[in-house]
Amino acid sequence: MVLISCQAKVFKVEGFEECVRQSFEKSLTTAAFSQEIARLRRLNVEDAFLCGLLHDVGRPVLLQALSDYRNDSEVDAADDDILTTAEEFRIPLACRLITSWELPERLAVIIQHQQTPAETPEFDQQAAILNLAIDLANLALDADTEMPEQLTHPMIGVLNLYPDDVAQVLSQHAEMLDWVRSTI
Amino acid sequence: MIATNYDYDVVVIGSGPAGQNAAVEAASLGGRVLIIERERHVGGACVQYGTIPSKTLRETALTLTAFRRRSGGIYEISHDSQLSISSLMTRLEEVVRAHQNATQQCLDMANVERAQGKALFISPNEIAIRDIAGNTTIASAHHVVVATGSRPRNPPNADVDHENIFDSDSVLSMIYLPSSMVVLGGGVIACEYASTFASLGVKVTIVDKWPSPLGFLDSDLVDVLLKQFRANGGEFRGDTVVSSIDWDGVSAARVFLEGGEVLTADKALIAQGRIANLDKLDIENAGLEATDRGLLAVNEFCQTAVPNIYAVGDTIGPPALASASMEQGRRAMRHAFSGELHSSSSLIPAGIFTIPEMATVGLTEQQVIEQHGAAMVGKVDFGRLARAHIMASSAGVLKLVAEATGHKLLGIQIAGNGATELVHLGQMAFLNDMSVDTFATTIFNFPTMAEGYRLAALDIIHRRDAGAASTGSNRDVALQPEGSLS
Ligand SMILES: Cc1cc2nc3c(=O)[nH]c(=O)nc-3n(C[C@H](O)[C@H](O)[C@H](O)COP(=O)(O)OP(=O)(O)OC[C@H]3O[C@@H](n4cnc5c(N)ncnc54)[C@H](O)[C@@H]3O)c2cc1C
Repeated sequence: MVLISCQAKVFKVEGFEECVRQSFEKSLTTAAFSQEIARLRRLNVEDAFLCGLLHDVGRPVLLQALSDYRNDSEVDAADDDILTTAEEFRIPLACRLITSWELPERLAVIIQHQQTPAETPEFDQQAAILNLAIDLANLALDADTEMPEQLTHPMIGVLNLYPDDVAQVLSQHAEMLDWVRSTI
Repeated sequence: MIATNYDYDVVVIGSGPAGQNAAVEAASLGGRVLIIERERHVGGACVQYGTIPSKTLRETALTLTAFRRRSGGIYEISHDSQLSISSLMTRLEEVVRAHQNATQQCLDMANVERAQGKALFISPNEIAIRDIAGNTTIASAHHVVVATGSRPRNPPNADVDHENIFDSDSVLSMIYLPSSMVVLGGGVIACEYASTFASLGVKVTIVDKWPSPLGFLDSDLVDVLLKQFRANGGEFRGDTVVSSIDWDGVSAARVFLEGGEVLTADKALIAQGRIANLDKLDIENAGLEATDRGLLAVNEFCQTAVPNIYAVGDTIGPPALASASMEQGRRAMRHAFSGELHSSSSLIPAGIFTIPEMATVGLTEQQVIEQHGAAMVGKVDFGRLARAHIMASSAGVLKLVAEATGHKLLGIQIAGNGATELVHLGQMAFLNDMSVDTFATTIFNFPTMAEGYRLAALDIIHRRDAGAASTGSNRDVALQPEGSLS
């Protein structure tokens, strides 16, 4: 549901279409990686998927609001300023949105700690999954980098993923990207 | 201590109840011991996915049902459709941590060393340990204990995605209580989860190929469970063969039955037995071979065909209980260190934490008939016990099974609240070779559930005095293969 309503609106952010498309693509890829890691660790798969999907939802919403504001007022803000502001506030806004959509509070806690999983008071495993999945999504979407067969990442130890577990997750990247592209 | 040129006297693979008890016993007998565990914390599947989490959820279900019963219908508990499972297990983290810490402390106090990694055999005396970074170290030992436990056996016709179709290791990762659930399997784990979820208001259907669940128990006990399960809205579909299970892609798990019927539910749980974790151990490098059932064959001291290697716990199959696993770990190490040839009591009680719970020790009525030709049975319905009424828990039965003359006690079976504790009283009587009459002449506190023993014993004595016929081999008790945990 969240997926569909976001999709219709966010693609209309004039001047930032590519940035929004990338954010959306990365969110879907993160969601796909998150759910596979959760499946492996026997943690809740749906929650992991939702966290991946919504971890960056603040960015397009901010881009929309800031660009609307720029158009409506006569504020002279450069595109880069808008992008920087969106980057700075996207996580707190994602958490606010989750609360206002009346989604479970734990999703906000996990998303809030996407860059600092070690600092979360609870759901540390779920935050670690999201943190790892974001980096895996970046890797998978980077056209200049081959997806490796193994990886070093601080969350691998936290999640107790052995080389065969990591290889299993990484091996699914092509399938995930196909799904992401067909969804967009 | 064994004088060796090895790094350790004993290397134990796996830190579940079997491994940890083997390690502590070996250390207390003077051995230098290393325990290898692939997870970050010790305790085994028992703590992470098995006994402890399932019992924590059950405890909440019990509290809710007891409240409902005891309030005599004055209060009705309802929950919204989005009740989260974690809110029903708020104490789980605390319980798990406490258990893991206690286990770790026990190992520390015994000076057991610990390595984190996946172990595999290089030879009968050498174990490779692969850590998460992919590094390998090697430890050599005079004795090796395989205590790697088990995992769910998922049939090939089921697409277990841990999202809609679960196994017993993933079912508690569900966030919300589903409104309906199909449980596949009629063994202990299937019945425990089925009765717990039914008590929490989930519409549960158990599907099994056997005519009734828990075939290793006498049918009169199983009836007590089924009655309560049905009262909670549950349905048991026996003699039913499943051809496949899948997710419809939208909202329902589908169970396709042979014959064409399709059952649907919010979620499905597959609990059709467990398989030993032996496949990634390279046991052939140690000269070991798994049996047809994927287990390690051992003698009464848990020693495998390769004399310096012992196997304990779920890797050797039934009864596949934490309690039995602990004893096997200890027994193996006493044999290894002192050559002890007397195994301690092999009397293992089985507790089945269904709602209501059940317990058994010794032989069932059916087994007594098979092994001794006939049995004399004394039974008491919980409805006759004052304490059961006070606790608003009068659904249950306590059954003493004696040989045909009604003197020697051969088995005790109990269904009803408190059964898993109550059975220990009977177990002590067994261990001390007490007769049926002991229960009739012993004074128990009143009102207590222990009074059930006295009344059941009096039932036997009454039959004996009346010259009543004992139950014979023509008694109609449905038989199934002896149950492993499934
Ligand atoms: C849902 C459920 C409920 C249960 N309820 C009860 C109950 O109420 N009462 C009861 O008595 N029993 C119960 N059991 C059974 C009980 O949990 C098991 O019998 C018991 O855990 C077996 O102990 P174990 O030490 O053999 O194996 P486990 O507890 O499975 O431990 C094995 C350990 O070995 C580790 N390991 C595996 N392979 C390797 C490797 N290659 N290298 C390093 N480490 C490895 C695993 O990570 C694990 O920690 C239940 C089981 C389940 C699934």
